[in-house]
Amino acid sequence: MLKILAVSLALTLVFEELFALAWGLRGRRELGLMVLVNCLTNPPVVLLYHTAAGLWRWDPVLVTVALEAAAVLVEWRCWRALSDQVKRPFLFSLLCNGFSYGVGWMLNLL
Amino acid sequence: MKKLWILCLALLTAASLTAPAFADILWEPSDDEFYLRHRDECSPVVRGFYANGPEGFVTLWDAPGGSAVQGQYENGTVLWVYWQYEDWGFITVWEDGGKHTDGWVPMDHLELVYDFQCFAEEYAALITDYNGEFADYGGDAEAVHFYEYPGAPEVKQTMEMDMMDVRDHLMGKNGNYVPKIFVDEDGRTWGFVGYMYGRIDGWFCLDEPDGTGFPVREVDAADLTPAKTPVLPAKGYIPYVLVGAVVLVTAGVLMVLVKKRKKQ
Repeated sequence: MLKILAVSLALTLVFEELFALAWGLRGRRELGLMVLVNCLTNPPVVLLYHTAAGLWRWDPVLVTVALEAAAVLVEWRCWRALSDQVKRPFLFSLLCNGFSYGVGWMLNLL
Repeated sequence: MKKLWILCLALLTAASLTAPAFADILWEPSDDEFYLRHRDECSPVVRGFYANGPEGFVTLWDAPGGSAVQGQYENGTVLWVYWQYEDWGFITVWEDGGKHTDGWVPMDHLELVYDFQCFAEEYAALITDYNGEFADYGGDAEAVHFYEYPGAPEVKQTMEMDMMDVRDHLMGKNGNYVPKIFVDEDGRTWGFVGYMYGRIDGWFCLDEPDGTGFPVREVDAADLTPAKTPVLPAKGYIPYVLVGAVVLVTAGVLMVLVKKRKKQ
């Protein structure tokens, strides 16, 4: 499990840093903020998904939607409070998470 | 935004180049990391076991000696062990829609369900070679019931006689599918079918292929520890504690950054 958490966080960081660069974010502060924001949301999302969908057998789709929505909201608040470069934090958070989730989903299919 | 599209297209292209892998007829988990790393050291089992943990339940772990709980089952639940690694069994519990829960359980937390292999061991001296006893079958049974062993309490699997040439296969017209027979205490002759169509292992009554209600054979009953509602083992909390710590530390750093920003 710990390895899954670590791999998931590492992959998410790669995808979202790439997304942030493509979005136009530059500098240690902004890209470092991306690391912090993901450390805050990714491990709990992965662990709670494993717990709710895997262990408690809750509907995986509903669990995913709820957890991803929570992650988007938390990250939106972080970007809004701390970023100098992200002008539309909610849209950025939404698309960034959608992008990394989509890529992760595709990797899982392989 | 253009860069974003290029990034998405590049990832899609990379994904399309990878071909899917298909498992053999023997179930192999494609997403169990421990199994994939140790598959050469795992031996196939494919037998049913009762959950029989000392605490009244068993816990499925993500790996032998792992830290994440994959599932928990009360004693008495029949679980299928597909692979064994040292003293650990790899279990898959199938659910609706092809979903499944996988995990590793110490083998000494499991008790073997009496199956056709147990029967073959117990009655080895009375099981003899098949000599065409069913070759001249002229009955009108429309189906054949397979049992785990002669005198098992319930039918394991039923096949229509005319489906997939079952009748011809059993009568030996397309090779011999009935290598062994057993004559029970009431004089009925039973034939063993092994791995027919890759999925049927069981006994059927040659005298009455569609028969039910045969006298039930007494077999060794599993001696199980009484079942109890599962509780999460202490080790299962490790990931939660670690993730909680990461979240707290990160949240702390972010709060400091927010305060600094407000002062500026």
